[in-house]
Amino acid sequence: MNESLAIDFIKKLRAHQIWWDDSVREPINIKEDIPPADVETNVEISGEWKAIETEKIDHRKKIVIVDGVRRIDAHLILGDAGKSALLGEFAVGAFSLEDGKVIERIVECVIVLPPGISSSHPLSIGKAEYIPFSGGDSTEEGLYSSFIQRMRERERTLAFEFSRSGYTVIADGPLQVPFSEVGVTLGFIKSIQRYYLYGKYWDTVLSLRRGERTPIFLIRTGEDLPPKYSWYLRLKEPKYFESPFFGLVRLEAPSNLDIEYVKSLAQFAGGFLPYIISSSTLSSRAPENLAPLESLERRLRAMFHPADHIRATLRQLIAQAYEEVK
Amino acid sequence: MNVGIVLGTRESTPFEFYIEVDGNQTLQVDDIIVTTCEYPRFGRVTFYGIVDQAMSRLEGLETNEQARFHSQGLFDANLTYYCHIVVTRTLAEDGSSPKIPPRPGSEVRLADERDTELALYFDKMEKRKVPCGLLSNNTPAYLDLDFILGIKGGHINISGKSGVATKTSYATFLLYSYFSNLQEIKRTYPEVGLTNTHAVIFNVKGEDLLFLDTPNSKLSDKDRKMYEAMGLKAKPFESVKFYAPPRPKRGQYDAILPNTESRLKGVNVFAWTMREIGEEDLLWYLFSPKDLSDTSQLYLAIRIATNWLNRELKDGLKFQSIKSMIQTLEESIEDVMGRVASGTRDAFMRRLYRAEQEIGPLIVPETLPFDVETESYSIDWRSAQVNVIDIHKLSPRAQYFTVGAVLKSIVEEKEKTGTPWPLVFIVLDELNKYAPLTGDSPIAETVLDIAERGRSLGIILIGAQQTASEVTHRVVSNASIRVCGNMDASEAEHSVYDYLGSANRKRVQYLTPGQMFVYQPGLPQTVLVQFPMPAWATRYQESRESDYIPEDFTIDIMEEMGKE
Repeated sequence: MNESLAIDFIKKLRAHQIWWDDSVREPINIKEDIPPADVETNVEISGEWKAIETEKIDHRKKIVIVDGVRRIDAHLILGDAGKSALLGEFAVGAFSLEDGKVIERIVECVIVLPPGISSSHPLSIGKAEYIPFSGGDSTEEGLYSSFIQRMRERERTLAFEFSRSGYTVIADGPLQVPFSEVGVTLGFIKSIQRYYLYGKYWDTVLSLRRGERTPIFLIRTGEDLPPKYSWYLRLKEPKYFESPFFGLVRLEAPSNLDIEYVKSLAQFAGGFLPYIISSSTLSSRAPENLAPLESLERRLRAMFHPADHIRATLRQLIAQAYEEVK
Repeated sequence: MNVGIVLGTRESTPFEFYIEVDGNQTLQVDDIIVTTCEYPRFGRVTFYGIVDQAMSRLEGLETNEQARFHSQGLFDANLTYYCHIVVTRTLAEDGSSPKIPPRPGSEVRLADERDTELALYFDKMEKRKVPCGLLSNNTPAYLDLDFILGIKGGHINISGKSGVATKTSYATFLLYSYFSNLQEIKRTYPEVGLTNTHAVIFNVKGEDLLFLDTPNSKLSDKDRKMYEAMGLKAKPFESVKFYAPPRPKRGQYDAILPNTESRLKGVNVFAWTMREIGEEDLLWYLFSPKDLSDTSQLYLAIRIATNWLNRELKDGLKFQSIKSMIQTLEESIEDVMGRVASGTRDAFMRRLYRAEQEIGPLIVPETLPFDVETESYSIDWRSAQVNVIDIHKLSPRAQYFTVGAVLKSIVEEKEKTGTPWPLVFIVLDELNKYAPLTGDSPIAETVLDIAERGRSLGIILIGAQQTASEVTHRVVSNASIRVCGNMDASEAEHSVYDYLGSANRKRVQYLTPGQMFVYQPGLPQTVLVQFPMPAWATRYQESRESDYIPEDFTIDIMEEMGKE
C-alpha cells in the first residue's frame, strides 16, 4: 500500500533523477543570517571594558541542552523544468544535565518541494515517512534553507517546552525569534563567523582567559528583529600555536529578560560550561563542542534511518514508477 | 516472568544466542530461560537455554574517556545488560526439534519448574531418574539412571580439589539419593528389584564416613529444605557396615580391635590370612606400582612365589604372618626361584620385606594359640547396603593392597555369578594413585577392568580424583556421568574436561563446597548443581546430641575386649 502510494508520489513529481552528495555545503549566509548589526556595549558596565571573572559552579538542576542534527538523504530532479526536491531528515533532542542523559529525541523526515508543487500525503521509503512541505524558492539553497529552518523551528519549540517547565535551556546555535516563545534560553554559538565587537573591545575578547567572559552587550540587527543580549566566553585557553579563537564561544540571551538575571546567567555559564567541554579525542569540534552536546548529537544521529537502505529503496521505487510508465 | 528479549545485534543460532535483560530485571549465570517464536514451517517453536555468561556495558561509547564523561553525567550511553545463552533444547509443537535460531526481539522468560524439566530433558527420563542436587532456581536436577545402572552407560567420575570440592560428600549424597529412591527404582527396573543394591566406599580421608548411620545434629534448616525440595528425607543411611584395619597389637594375645579413634562400636575389622592371600592370588598387591615398574622381572618372581605359596598351603603349612612366609621362602629360595636372576630375586625379597613392614598389620594368623581358628575378617559387602572400608590410616602400600584385594574379590565374585545383579557401587577416591595416566600395575588393571567391563558385571565405579588429567583416560572416558567441583583453572584446561565448555571452565576455580558441575549424556550443557550438607554426621561432634553417643571410648574398648 505504502509502496504504491510512493510510486504514485514519484510519478506525480515526475522525479526521474536522483543524486546524493554528502559534500553539499550549507550556504554560508544561512549560518548567521543577520545583516549589519548595531552593538551597545554599555548594558552591563558603563566604565572600562574588561574581562569579568566567573566562579566555578556545578549546578545541574533543571538544566538542559537542546540541539538538532540533520542529514540530506537525496536530491530529486523533477520533470524537465530543472526543478528539484530535497529529501532529508533531522533529529532534535535534549540532554538533561541533571540526569546525565538524553531525555528527549524526535526524528523527522521531510521532502522539501519547490513552490507550486505540493502533496497531501507523505512519501514512504521503507520505514521512513517523508513529510512534504514547500520550500521558500526552488533553488538548491532555497530548499536547503527551508529544511534548516524547519529543524530550527523544532529546536525552538522543544527549548520553549522545557523553558516553560522551569528549565534553563542551553540551545546550540543563535537564538531563534520570536523571543517571547523562547523563555529562559541561552544561545550557544561555537563558531565565530562574525565579529560583533571591534578595536579595544575585540582585544578584550581575545585576551579572555579560561572562565572569563566579556561584559554583556546588546545586539540590534534590524527594525523587525528583537535585540538580544550577548557575551563572549573562553572555555579553554589556546596554546601558543593555536588560534586565538580556540576555546572561544559566544552566548546569547533574549532581551526580554531582566539584565540582572542575564548577568546571573552569564556568571553561571562562565562558571559551568568551561568544565563540561569535550576533548579533541571526543569531538572534532573540541573544545567548543560541550561533551553533553557531542553526546546528544551522537544519540540523535543514531536515530536516522539507514542511508544506504533509503537510497536503495528510493532507486527501486523510481525504477518501478518508470516501469509502469513504460 | 519476562526478563528480556532475544538480542538482534548479536547472531542467534540454533545452538546459542544472546538476550538483552530488561532494565528492571536481573539474570544470572546458570538461570534457565525460555523463548517462543512462530515459524511458518514449524509453528510455535520453544527454545530452552541456560545462561552461561552475563555481561554489562555502556553501549555507544568508543573510548574510556567517554565512559568517564558518562560517569560525570556529561555523556549519555545506553547501559546494556545482556546474557549469552546456550540452547539446551528446541521443541516444536509436534515434538520435533528443528535446528533454527530464535527470532531477535522475542520475549524471553525465566523457566518455571515444568520448563526446567523440559530444558534439561528430565521429562524424557520419565521415572528413570534420581535427584543429584538443586539447580540455581531451586528445582531438582536429575541423573538419568540408564546411564548409571549400566543400561546405556555407567560409572560416575568426580574431579576436584581436596577439601574444597567435597567429592566424597557428593559421592555419598548420590548414593543416598539412589538408596532413598530404591523402591521407585525397583518398580521402574524390575531386574534391580530382584536383588538388593550395595555400595563399597573406601574412606581415604579422616574418619569422615564412620558416622553414615548417625544423624547430623548440626544440619541447618536450609539444608533440610534442600533435601525436601528434592523429595528426599534428611536422614542418615539405614544399612551401613563399617570396616577398619586392625589396631597394631602390642602383645600376641591382644584382642583384634578396629584401628579407629572417633568410633569403635559397630566397626568391624578387615584383615586377611596368608591362606587367603595365596588362594585369592593377592600376592601381587603386596607390591606397589612403583615396585613393579622398577623391575620388570618382578612379575615372574611374584608368579613363582604365588605358586610356591599355594603349594605349601595345600601341603598343610600355616603361615601366621607375612614374616613367617618370607622366612620360609628365604630358606628355600634357591629351589623355588632357581629360574629367576639373582638380582631380581634380591629385589623381590627386598620389596617383600618392605611390604611386610607396611602390610603386616593387615594379616591375621590363620589360627590362634591352641589351634583355635581365627574368625573371618573378610569384607562381606552383601551383608549391608553400604559398606565403608576405612583405609585412611594405612600406608600407601597397605592402601594399594586393600583396594586391590577388595576390588579383585568383588570382580571375581561377580564373574562367578554371571549376572550383573545385585548391583554394587564402588566409591574410590584418589584414582590418580590407583589408575595413573602412565604406568601399569595389577591394581590399575583391576580399576581399568571395572571401568571397561564393570557395566556388564554390575559394578558401578564412582571414581574421584583431584586431577582427572593424571588418571588413565580410559577410566575417565568410560564414566557416563562426569562431575567437577572446585579445581585450579589450569587443570580445567585439559581436554578431559572438554565437557565443561569454555565458559564453565573459567568458573571451576570459584566453585564453593557443595557446588558441582554435572555432565551427563543427552544434555548439551553441563549444569551447576548445589547439594546439601550430609544429613549424616561426618565427624564425632556432629554425631553428638543424637541417638548415638559413645560417652567414653574406654568403655567401648572394654566392651569389645569383653566380647573377645
